[in-house]
Amino acid sequence: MSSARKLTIVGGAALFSVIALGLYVFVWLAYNPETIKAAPQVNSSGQVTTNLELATVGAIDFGTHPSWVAYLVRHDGKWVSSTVWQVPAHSVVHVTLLEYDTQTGLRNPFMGMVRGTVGGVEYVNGQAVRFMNPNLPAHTFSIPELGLSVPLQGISQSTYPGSIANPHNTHVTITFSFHTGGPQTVHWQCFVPCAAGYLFGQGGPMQTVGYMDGYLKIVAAK
Amino acid sequence: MSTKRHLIIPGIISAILAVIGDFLVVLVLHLPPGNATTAAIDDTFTGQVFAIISWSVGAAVVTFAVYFIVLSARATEAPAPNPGYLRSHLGLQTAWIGSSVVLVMFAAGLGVVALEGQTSPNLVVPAKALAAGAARDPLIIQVIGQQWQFTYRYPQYGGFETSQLRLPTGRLIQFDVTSLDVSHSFSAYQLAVKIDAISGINNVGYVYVLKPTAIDVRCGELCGLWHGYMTDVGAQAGQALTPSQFSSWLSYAESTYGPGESSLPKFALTYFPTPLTY
Amino acid sequence: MSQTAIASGRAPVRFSARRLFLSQNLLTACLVGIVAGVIAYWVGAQLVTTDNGDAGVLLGYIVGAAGFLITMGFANDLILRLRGRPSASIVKTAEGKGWTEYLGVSLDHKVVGIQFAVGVTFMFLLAGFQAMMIRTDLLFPNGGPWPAGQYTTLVGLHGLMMMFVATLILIGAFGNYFVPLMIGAKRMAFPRLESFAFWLVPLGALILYSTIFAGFGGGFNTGWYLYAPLSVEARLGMDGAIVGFAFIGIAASIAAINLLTTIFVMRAPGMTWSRMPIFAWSMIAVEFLSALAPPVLACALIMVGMDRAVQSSFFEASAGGTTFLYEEMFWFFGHPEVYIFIIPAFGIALEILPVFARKPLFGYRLAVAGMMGVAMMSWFVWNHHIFTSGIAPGLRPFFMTATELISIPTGVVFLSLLGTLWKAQLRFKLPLLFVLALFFNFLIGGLTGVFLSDVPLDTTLHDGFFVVGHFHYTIVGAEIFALYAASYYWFPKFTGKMLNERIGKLHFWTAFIFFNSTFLPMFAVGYLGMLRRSPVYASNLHGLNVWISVNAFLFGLSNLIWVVNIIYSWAFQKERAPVNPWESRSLEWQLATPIPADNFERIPTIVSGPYDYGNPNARPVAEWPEPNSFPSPVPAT
Repeated sequence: MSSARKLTIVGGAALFSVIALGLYVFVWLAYNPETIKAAPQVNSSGQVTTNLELATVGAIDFGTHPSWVAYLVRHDGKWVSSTVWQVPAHSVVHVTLLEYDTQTGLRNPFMGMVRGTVGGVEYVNGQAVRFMNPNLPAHTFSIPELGLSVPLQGISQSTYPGSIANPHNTHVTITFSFHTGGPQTVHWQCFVPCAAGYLFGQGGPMQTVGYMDGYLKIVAAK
Repeated sequence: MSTKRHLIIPGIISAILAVIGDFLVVLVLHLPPGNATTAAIDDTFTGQVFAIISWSVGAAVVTFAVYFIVLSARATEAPAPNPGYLRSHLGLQTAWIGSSVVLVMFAAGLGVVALEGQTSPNLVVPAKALAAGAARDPLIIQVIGQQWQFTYRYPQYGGFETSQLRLPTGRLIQFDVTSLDVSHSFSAYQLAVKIDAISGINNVGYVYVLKPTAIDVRCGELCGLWHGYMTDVGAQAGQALTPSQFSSWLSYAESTYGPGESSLPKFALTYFPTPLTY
Repeated sequence: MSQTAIASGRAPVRFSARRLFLSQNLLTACLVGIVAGVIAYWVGAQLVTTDNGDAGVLLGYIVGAAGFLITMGFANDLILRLRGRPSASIVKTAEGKGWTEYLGVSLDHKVVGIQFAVGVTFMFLLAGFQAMMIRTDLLFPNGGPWPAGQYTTLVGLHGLMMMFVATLILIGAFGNYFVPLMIGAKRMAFPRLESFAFWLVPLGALILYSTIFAGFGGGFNTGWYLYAPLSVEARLGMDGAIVGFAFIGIAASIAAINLLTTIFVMRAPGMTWSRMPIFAWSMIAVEFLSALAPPVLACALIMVGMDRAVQSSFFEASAGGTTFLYEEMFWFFGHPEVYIFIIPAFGIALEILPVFARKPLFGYRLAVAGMMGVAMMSWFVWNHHIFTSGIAPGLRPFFMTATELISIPTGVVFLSLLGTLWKAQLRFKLPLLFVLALFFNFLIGGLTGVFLSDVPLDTTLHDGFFVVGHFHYTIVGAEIFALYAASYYWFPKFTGKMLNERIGKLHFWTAFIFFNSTFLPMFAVGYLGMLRRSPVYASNLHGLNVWISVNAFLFGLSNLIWVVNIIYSWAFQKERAPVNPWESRSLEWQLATPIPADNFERIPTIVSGPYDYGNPNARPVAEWPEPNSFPSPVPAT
């Protein structure tokens, strides 16, 4: 075999490797849902605030795992499947969450306590709650790095859990606020074992960013 | 040069390197994890001893090897038929094995001695917690690992649960560590404590804190997606407080977390929460 | 050489589709494997509907692999015998089939050795790329470019793939190729088993990599330990990791049985135990571990698979099982596993050392006893991996002492090093340089192991980067450097070309310097509290991590230099190597290059040991009966 031919084979193999590794890195390794940015506003007393509209559904109904529970965020008037959100630093985030999923209950009833919010309360259909009965939550919204944990009361078991594609009117509206503190990237997660079919209810969607887990990027204002 | 000189010269060089290195280890290298607890002091001391032994042995082996290599490289005459080769030397082999046994048994002995003084058959980490004169009546803190946060229960104060670790100095602390799901590990760096949290098992460890310190808690056993984020550090870090500070924290905690106690399960050493979904 | 093989009277028998009803074409085997796998997946999904598809996936992998192996021809002999026909002769083909032989089942241990060498080295480079990706993420203390889920899978893939590589690279490539030659045998005891062990390897690797596809749940999040119950909880990707790991364990076990039998039964006349090369002794020592430990792993993995697929509760405490059992079973395998890595490395190092020192190996018998001692004692130390897990307190002093005691037989190897260097006439060729670097690295690796064996100190260091530094020093610093040394030493016998010396020196210095500059700071970082498998760490460790990452990239580059050297020297260098360039007395160097299919036309009679360098009155190693020609002169000194 001539040198030129050998060189072509080696070169071809090297090119193939580079392309294959590049695909591996950029298609799989680096994949993250797109970051949804919540726009900062300044209220009358100069405090920076922002609004985050979220929803949780019993089945996302599209994508690679249509039967998985998921969080959704409202962006530009539409519900978007992304769990990577950006909020301003040193601000107060007002969260409105529509809970479309049924009650599952907590593994650790301690997570029924509202922690880290403004005033130490959340509002469930308008009622202030500090300690939720551990059988009621469908999910929680928790950011351990900020000491935040909010149990999210689910709709009753007899009602079929809705999805955004297939909503029905039954949902629970939950609102709360929290301070973001200085710039950092933190993770958030759910503490209810809501992953049906997985051991402890903690597998699958409970361990996948884009469903029941995500990042909160707290970014300094420019 | 005679065989003896070729052995003495690297021997002397090794000894000098060993002494210099050992001084550096003891005086300059402030080995972690520090001196906040009796266990940490023990770890630091053991680390220094091992560093001294390792450096001395390593320096000696490398010195002899390099010396022999240089000797060979510098040989300028053509290699004569070599009558001096050795296949084995009983005295040397015995001395080598004998000295390794002595060193190893010393190291092992040091470790076994440090393991003395345990009080409970469930002891996971020795922690050399029983400082002289310390009261034997420990403050019990149950550490519950779950995906992905540690929570802490204080059974002697009503069994309230909190996500903040607070403990007093000057008192024996007993950690009862368990898990609600997969295996985690309660790792508190400044306390020199690492106790695995395994479901269905209560792992016990003791610590005696000597001075107030922040406590960085991290999970030490891969437990899923947010294993690396399962930490209490920075603003959420645990704290070792003076006894009076701890008392005021207790009052705060009982008023804040107390109302939630009624929804918690009765205090037990292990928990099998439902649902256990398959 | 090939003509004489025919002339020796045995008709060459080819395994061909005409003679047997199952073709052995690689492409056909892949197709059959995939089709069988898909069908089995469907069947499994119908049989078990209460899980997440694990039963289907597991069945699909196993049946697919079986379909592949059967189509490759491994069941041919069994089927022939069942039909009452005589089994096919195992005589190797007289005519080489060229490079296509390397893509099939070969009964020539030399071909299988090269298959292992190329295949496992490719896996090494792939897993090494993943290490570069890990270090990229660790450039950033608060989470890097890869999200947490992918980072966890990345760490698991790197670890598991490297475990595959480390288990098989020295035994599979150099053990299979050179042990029959060194002991004067014409073939291995079980040539078909040897090839079977090889083909399990690409299967295992492919199955492992298939886990990253989103349909399988995007990877596995348990690291390479696969600890239950996290592995029971994990997504579909875990099934690939379980099956892949089990296949590699089986391959290691089979290769072990083959090598042990070959050495015990097929030594040339006159090859007494005290005349056997120390590399062959290291193969004996390691094979006791490799034959007996992986089955324990396979059991543990089967139990995890059953917990996942059919909801048994081996490892679920609330349903009557024991979580902790997995850790015990895994480490009962896991500790002998790491000695499977290091014992062949010692064998290679001590084999190469006398050739370049031109004097006998010092303390040959003691070194053998040391390796045997290490192998035996490695069964008694496994709890040192789980000191913090809650083992019974009475076990801790025992395992701590046993772990510290195991450093005594290990230290004996260093006595052989120093004794052989004493008054040596060193030839500073690349194999020797890598062997010296190996001993330096293992010194650091071994001494840091003593830190970890102390229970109180382990409380601070367990599951941190101190452990990572320790095992990279022993596995990469010793075993991979043994791989480098062996590649430079035996390349002329594999290929008839020398590896280029200048590129080789560049490879050596970059590898040695950047390996040490990468992994030495890990001890500091680990002592300062940085734990494993976490994409985030304390910000005061940022500087050290950046240093480690940059040096890791450079160490990765040095591996590319090695690969470039291999490709360049093999394909583009025109000069052929002398038959015995290192003037070694070992039997494989007395043969022509390329070594004939049957190795020896007539088995020689061994008359002296192989390490009699520097002795002008040394007897030759062997007496060669006619019609063997004796191509290379006996080296005088």
